[in-house]
Amino acid sequence: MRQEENNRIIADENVAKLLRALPRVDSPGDFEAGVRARIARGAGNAGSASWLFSLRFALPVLLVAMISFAAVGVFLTRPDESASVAPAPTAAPTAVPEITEARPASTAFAPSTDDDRPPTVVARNTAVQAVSRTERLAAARRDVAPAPKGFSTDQTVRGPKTVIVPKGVDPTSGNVSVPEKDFSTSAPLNVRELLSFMGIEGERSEAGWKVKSAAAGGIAERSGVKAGDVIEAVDDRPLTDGSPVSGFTFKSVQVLRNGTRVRVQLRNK
Amino acid sequence: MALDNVGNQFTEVSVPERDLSDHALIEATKKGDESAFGQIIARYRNPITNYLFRFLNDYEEAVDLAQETFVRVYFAIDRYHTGFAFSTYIYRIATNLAISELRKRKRRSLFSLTGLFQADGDEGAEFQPVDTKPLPDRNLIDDERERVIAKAIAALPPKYRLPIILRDVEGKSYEEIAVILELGLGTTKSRISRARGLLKEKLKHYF
Repeated sequence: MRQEENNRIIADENVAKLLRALPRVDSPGDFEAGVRARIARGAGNAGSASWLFSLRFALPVLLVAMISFAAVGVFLTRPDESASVAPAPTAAPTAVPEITEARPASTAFAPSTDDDRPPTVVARNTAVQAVSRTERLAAARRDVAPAPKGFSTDQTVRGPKTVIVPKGVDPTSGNVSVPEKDFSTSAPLNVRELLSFMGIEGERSEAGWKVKSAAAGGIAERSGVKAGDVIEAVDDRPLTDGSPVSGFTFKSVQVLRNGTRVRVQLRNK
Repeated sequence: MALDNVGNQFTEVSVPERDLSDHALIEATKKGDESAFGQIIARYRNPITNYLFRFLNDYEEAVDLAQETFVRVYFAIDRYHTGFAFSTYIYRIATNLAISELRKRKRRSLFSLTGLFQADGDEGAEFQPVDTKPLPDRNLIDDERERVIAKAIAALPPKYRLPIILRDVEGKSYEEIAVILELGLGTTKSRISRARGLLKEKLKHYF
């Protein structure tokens, strides 16, 4: 053990001797002149050097500050949730006849075959939906910035796809579905329902479908349909009992009034 | 009257700058005496150059950093306190500059594509074993030995290279080395011993 320690000490001493025997390296003759020159340059460049040194830190800090301000700006200018749903129209929505909003009776709904999406089914005329829709419309008109043409306020604020079912139909029964096609032209109607959408209470007579009364303020009443008129055709399609008529929107009706055929153009206003 | 003359003679006697202590030269430099600073340079230029050369194994770089060391001393001379030896102070500055230089080299080799295909020259340098064939010329033998020893030192990790150069090349005491490297005395001794052990394996053919 002691021998090993002695060997180690001797080896260390040999290494030290080798290193001590290395020739010393001297500095060049112009060493001091070089130092003086650097000192002279350093005194003159001290200001710019410190400026550059601070710039090394100032630039990243400035960059971070700019990014932070941009992020805060984006956050503050972000529209609220109600307005961010979709752009709103510039003008107030046009008056849509109630007939286009309504749904026919249960027989009017054709089962959907090409849509597997589960629709959101709500009961018709529920107060909750009415209030909610009114509020959404008001919010859209008040808060949303004008949008380019081609958008509908009604579509904008409607939210998720809904199904309005007539009274008495259980929306959870599973028999109610939304046809994917444009139901305004494809859904079959019976005549009584068709007339009721125009605000006409009709009755079947020998002459045909007779207007028993036209609801005040309804489309028929506004357009000039009067009680006692016999409706012969809608949009040039003759009404025959039991033959369903497709569609929800109509332009004109042909009536027989006191023996005279009159074409009544349906007006929204 | 005679006593007055004697007193005046004493006040006119001045100590040559070469005999002044480091601290006295520093004080004179602080007062604007450029020749005092020149004396400091003359006193330490060779030791610092030699120290940096043995550490970096590159003469041009060593001279450059030695000059930079004196520039740093000059501009920081007002902040120098005489609490410890000036030699310790200047060696510490040189050491810090040398370590910074090693880091720069490492960065350069990291970002240089050519550096990928070149030998590192630092701690990762491959050590070439000694050629044991006899050489006819004594100078050639000495040159070869010096080259091998220098390369063996350069291949040491910096934490072992610095203390052994200060100890065995510059002849500093353990206490001075501990202050220069800002290490404990035990750590300093341990690193020197470890460095000698590493060198012993590489240089065993020379003793």
